[in-house]
Amino acid sequence: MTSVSAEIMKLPAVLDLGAAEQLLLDLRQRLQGDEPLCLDASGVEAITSPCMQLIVSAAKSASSVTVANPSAAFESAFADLAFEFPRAPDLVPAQEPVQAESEEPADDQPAADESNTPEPPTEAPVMSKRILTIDDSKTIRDMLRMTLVDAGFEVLQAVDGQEGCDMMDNETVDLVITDINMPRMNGYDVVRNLRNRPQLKGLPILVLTTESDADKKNLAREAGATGWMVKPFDPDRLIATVRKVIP
Amino acid sequence: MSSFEQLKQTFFDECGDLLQQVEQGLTEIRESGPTDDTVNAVFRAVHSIKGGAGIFGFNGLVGFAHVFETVFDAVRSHRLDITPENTDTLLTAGDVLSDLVGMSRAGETPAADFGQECRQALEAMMGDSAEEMGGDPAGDFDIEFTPVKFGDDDEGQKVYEISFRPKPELLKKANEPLYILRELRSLGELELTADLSHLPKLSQIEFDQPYASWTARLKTASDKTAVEGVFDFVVDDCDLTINEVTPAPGEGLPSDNFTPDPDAEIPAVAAPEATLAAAAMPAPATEAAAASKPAGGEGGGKPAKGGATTTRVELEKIDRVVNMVGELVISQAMLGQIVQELPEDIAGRLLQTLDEVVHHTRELKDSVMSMRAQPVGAVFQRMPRLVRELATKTSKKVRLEMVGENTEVDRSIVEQLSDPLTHIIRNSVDHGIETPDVRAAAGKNEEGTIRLAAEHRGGRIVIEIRDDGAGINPERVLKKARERGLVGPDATLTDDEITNLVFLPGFSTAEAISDISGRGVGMDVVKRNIQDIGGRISLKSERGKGMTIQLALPLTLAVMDGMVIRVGKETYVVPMSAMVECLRPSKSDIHDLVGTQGMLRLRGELLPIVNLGNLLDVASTEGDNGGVVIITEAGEDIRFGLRVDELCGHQQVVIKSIEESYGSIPGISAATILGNGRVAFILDTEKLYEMAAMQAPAAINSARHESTAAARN
Repeated sequence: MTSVSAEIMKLPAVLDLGAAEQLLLDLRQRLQGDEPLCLDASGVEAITSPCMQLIVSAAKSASSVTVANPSAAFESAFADLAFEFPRAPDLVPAQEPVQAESEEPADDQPAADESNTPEPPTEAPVMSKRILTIDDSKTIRDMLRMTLVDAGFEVLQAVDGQEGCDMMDNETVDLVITDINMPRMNGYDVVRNLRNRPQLKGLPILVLTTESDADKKNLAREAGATGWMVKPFDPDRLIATVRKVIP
Repeated sequence: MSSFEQLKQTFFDECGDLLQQVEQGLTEIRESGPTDDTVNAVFRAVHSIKGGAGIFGFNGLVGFAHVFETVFDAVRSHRLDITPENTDTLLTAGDVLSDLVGMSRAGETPAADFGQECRQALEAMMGDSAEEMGGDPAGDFDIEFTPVKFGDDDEGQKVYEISFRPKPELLKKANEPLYILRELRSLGELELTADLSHLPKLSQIEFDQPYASWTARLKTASDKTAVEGVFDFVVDDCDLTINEVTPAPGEGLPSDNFTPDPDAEIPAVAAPEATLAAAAMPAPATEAAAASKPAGGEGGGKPAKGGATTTRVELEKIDRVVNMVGELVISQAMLGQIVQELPEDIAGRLLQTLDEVVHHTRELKDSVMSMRAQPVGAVFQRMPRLVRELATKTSKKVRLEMVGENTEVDRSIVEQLSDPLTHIIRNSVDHGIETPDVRAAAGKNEEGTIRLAAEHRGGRIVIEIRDDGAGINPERVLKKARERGLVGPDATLTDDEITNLVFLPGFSTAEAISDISGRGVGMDVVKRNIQDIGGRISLKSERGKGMTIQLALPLTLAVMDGMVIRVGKETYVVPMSAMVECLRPSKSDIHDLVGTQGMLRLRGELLPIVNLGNLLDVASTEGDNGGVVIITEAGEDIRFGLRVDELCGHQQVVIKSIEESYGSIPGISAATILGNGRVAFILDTEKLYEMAAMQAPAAINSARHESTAAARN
């Protein structure tokens, strides 16, 4: 039986760069009191280094911070980065509720009821990743779509930079692939435009360049692009490159 | 069609548009000098062609496009100026590019030295920086390496020591150490150690800064390039060292040091291109006839200025809709007929609804037609090249001006325009425009001008080809015509009539048959081509000043506005576009003139009357002086009155060709199906006028002269 004197904080399913700010705020708030904190990592489906650092830092700052029930994704991420986390004994999903005086009348309480439920369905079941491709050449657009759809991605298309940026006002995607030379807003401006939107901080953006353009690559990098793809590409290389940023 | 083939098709369609943009841009550059916009547009177009061609492995095309693009890139960044001298090279390069696309489309492999001369000229333009263009470094090829694991055997295994410290920018660009290290792990066995000593306390930490760094020892079969490849995207945004520490069998060996240098980074994925292009390609290139095709035919859509969103639809699908609209028009006409036969109380409301249906059908027809419409630019775009080549061959200086390229007309007409236009322009350059010295002697600008203009005029599209050459020499034409027995030795003809003799079959004035024109295809064929698509051709020439040829064409070949008329028991359709007005003349306005069927005085002008019944051998019910006269145009400045028994009403009719089944019938251009289900012929007014003139040539001609005289009085 675990002592239930620890406060339990359920970690969200996705802990990427976009979630890091909120996680930091939450951790700081919870650690204001002296109460030991136990992070319930059972529902974590994806986690990247910024959030991992925060958890390690939290544990370093207050030795009472522990992680319980880490999910496979959580554990492998820490193993892959050679980070360690303070493991708490598995939470026996206590029948007794989390402390009554816990500030928020937690709405996820019922979730903790059943011992063998792996994760509450915090998110829709594995969604295919969405990719926005921006290119003024239909050949390239179609080629990208064909290849990406075959690889199981969902593909949105825009015919120039302006349209691409406009689409990003309403769409959420996991990756943007943009051409450089386009009428109505070139690729560099697309990257700058998107990088200036706080909610897109963690959005990988790949630019399409031709192999001869070493300086274009640098320009794109300066603008904030995550990486580049070289035109012409073959399908396998394309997918390999995409997987590099959205595994 | 496999999706790959489909993609290829898309590519060629797109190339059509892109080549058009290149040609247009280059022409603009030549006419009015380079602007940033034009240069960028050309650059983008060439770049896109290259990009697409790379996918399909058209190496010759890629190689050439690359050189071409490099030149434009230099222009774009003001490293190279466009001068009148190198403009010609660029224009030629546009032509070569178009040829290469044509060959690729036809499935031919261009000869290794195809366009070599032009390529060298382009390279010469770049001067010293030319080496950059050759494409590149052998390094490109190393990338093909695929990591292979050799079982447990350590043979071929290398060991690297890697240290990796991300900088803040790394996260800002959405790169993720986790993914990078995972990729590294996938190369082999990785021993990884994280250094978190710089990780601040929670109170001081910033959520989007990287604090960790890693050292690793990687045992892998991959070579160093592959290992470096993992860090491709982040090499500038981290401190990275990769040292090979592979121990030689038996003992350890020190490593070479590698500090990544941004300039020397190796592209992860690269396709060798230009270098390949130069490699020997066997199959000799036949000057592809296909080369002329791609520029227009398929991909003549408007250049996407202003980013109009477009979608490509297979032509067949649109044709199907056009056909359906045609059938709809017929059913609707039938419905109208039935409604009219109903008792009036029922018919009233039905008619109202039917009117709406008619209205909508017309709009539907117009919209579908506008989908099929194509700017004539698709054909015009091929002309600059033609003029350029001909001018070079004949050592003349010729400038081509084009106006109204965006004028739209049904694509079937655009397709039919190519041959006649090519022929006319050939003639102009070959026979019309004089050599520079002759021109100079005549006090003209050494450079001749051919102006190609298109515009919409009264439901038709009018295309005018005007040159400022020598014009037609009437004496020579007449002499030739007499020699060939085309006109009687005594006939007196006006200059205009003489000029129009060139349209007679078997007429060619070229004294020397050059290899340009005079291929046995004369203006008569041009005229027939134009007439076949319901068009008219007219020619005006002014000795020493030039010649103007005008083509007036219908906007569509599928549906037209027609006036249904009756003569005796027969029903015909007169195209609305040929009608000027209809009237029921009073007897006193009709003057008898020997040899004519009467002359109508209309607002001071005398017009010959043609009795349709007589001409088509149908018994009229109205007698010679009754009925309605339709004032009809039969060509430029030729008008006559067509006497019919009754006008039955105006309606849209679907044109059904009868030529395929019956051959051509004089005076009839096509047939249609009327509301009552009956077939009616559509009249060819121009031909009718000619037929009437043949029946009474002298009379009509003199009548016309008289009418002109009368009009002048």
